[in-house]
Amino acid sequence: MPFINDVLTFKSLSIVGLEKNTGKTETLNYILGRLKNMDTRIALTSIGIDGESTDIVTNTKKPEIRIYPGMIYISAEQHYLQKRIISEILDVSKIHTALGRLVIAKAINSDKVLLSGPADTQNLKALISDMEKFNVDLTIVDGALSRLSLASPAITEGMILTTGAAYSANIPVLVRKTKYVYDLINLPEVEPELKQKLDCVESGIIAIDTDNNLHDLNIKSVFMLKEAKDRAFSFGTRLFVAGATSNYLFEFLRMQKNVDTIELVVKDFSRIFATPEVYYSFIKKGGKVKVVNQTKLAAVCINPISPQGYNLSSDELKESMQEALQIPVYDVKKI
Amino acid sequence: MIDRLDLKSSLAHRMLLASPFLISTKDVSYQLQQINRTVNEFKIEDNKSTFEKVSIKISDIRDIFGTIKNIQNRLTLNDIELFEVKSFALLSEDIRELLKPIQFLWEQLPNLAQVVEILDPEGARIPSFYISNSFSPELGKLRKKLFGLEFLLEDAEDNSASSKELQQQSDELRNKITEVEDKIRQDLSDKLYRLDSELDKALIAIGNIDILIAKAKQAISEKLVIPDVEGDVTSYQGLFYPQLKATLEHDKKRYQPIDIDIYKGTCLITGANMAGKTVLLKTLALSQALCQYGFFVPATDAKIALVEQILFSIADEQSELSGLSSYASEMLKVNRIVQLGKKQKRILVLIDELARTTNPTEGRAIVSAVANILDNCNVRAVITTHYSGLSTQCRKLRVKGFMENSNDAVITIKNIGDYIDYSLIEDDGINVPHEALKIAQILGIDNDILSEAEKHLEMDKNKN
Repeated sequence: MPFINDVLTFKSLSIVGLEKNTGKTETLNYILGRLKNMDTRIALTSIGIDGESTDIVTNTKKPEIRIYPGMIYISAEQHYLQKRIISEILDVSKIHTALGRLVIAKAINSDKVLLSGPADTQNLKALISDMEKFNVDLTIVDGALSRLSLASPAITEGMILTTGAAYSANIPVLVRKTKYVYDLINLPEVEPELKQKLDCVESGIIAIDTDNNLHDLNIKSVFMLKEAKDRAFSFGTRLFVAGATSNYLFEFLRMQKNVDTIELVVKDFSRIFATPEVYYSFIKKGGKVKVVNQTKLAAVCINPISPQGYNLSSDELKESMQEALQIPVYDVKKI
Repeated sequence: MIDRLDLKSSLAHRMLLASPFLISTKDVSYQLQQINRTVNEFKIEDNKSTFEKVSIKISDIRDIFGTIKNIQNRLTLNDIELFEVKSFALLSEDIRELLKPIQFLWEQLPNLAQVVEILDPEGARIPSFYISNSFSPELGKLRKKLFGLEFLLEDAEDNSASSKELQQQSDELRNKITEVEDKIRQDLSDKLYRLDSELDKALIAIGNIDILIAKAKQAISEKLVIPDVEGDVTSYQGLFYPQLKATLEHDKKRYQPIDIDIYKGTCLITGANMAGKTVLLKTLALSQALCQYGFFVPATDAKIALVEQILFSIADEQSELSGLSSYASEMLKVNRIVQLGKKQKRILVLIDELARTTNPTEGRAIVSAVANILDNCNVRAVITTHYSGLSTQCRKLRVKGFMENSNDAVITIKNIGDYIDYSLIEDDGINVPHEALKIAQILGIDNDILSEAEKHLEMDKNKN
């Protein structure tokens, strides 16, 4: 039973697809199917509202998530009332979504469900820690990696990444693109003292001096950095950027004379939106990147079939991926 | 004051914001007596933990106002609403049990055991809800059959004839189950309809208890007092402005409470700048409003004559958008006050520095006129002014101002408050204090201004 034992060591796990139709839901169903007979209490949620029965973007059939008796799931009020499954309401959360409040319910029988969840990191964190009230051992988050999503799946302890033909139909390109995300996930975490300080900073660009003191630079966005260049490094060469980081920032940092002493700190890997070329050229020049919240990668799953009809060779893809990442890779259709 | 109330539920917040300005003695005293009893209960040591526990329970209360309305309108409740009613009833029962030692609060909460009974046939007393099999034996049988079918379906091959038939059977069964479930929801809603007034009463009672506990806590921590509202007298001993007092005490500075009686008619208050006249008016307005919204008031002893309205005119209320100067908008406001006064309405009128934005000659005349008119109305009016030589016979009070012996002390802008006596004395009002220059000097105003002003004062004196 691949990677299930790894999954059980976490209190929270997110499943993140690098693209739609990379087999995220299949992976989730696989895990739930394996966990159903174990003595582990599972709770399921998602980032925002998810779980439509057909994919709106590509109009392909999207497998629904099947849950089993005793599992807890989170659903928006309006979805809850349209459910097929028989389930018991445990609580109604104060968190609001476009489709009403979030309902926390326990499945009585086995059936398919539509998951919902908070759309921002704070509420997602609160919800996960709230699950302790219901003796939940593992909370699984159906995640999304997107600039549009305010909530980051990286707040969970563990993560499973799904990738596949939908992300790129060319095996070497697909491997390279996945390797990039893999590298980002493995970025080192800052020391605990600094982590605690930075955890509550939600916006802005902050300089960190050698004694780990924070200095707000009062620079509204990374695009203003150029104008404020003289101030940017007035407290040393460590910078924390709370929001998204783009090519612009990495290029700016790379072009500094002291690039090899610069250390950029970001909230988590999902806040980096630079292209691989720009990111790696910054690293090559000696720049360093660290994260406030690191998440452990439990597994990488591949889906060799894309909605456009590309069919990659499962074995070939699996092998080259494994070779590049040096961790076990699974084909969701074959496990 | 409302912002600093420690309310536990959004329910209480909604109820408090909707509470009316009370004008009958009976209503006000009832509210005040309720707080008084709660304050007294707080003084009993054993009750402290009870209140603590009740507050924790109340913080879990959801405002199910909308759901109760749906019950009253005979709508069928959905599972989420039924869950809300059940968890509300369970919490209400818990609170009722906790409140047993505090008789008068316990009495306000109706017994909801029947509601719990209806929604919790298994007697598990856990706040979770679904249409379980124990609501109907038929449901249990149908569900069992469905689970069996689903099991077979999983094994059947896709699109085979047998799978299609199974699918059809399962769909039919599902419809049947939905029908039965809906029937149960209908039944439950009907049963709850008979108890709707109990639910409504309980919801209002819990909101009230939350408010009472918060008001009592505030009364104790901010040292508020129950005002006597039975007579037609307004008289304060040790009146204070809570926020200012807290700030000053925090900075380890002196705060001087004030004694004041306000009779029917007009009372003019004069006094130097920085002598606390505006704060006094604000405090009077606050106390009157607190009292008539059913709160204790910030004083050591208070008698308050109830009024129908509080009318307040303070400082600059320029409204550039409507094209009115500060003088014009003040006059319109004062006009409204005088008109209401003439109708013999019971009002508390508080005007800060009437007609101060116009020339002193006419300003003086306006103050005298307004003071005289209001003096003959059924109002209690307090007007502050800097004008001297007013031709009015109404009562006059003066803030004592700088202490006698303060001349040799080094007074700075920081400690100026320590050298002002804020207490009020009856005055003839002919000579108002002339301490504006002294204060300007303390504020560190340019010496040229001061010496030039002194020169002009000399010249005026010589003219006279």
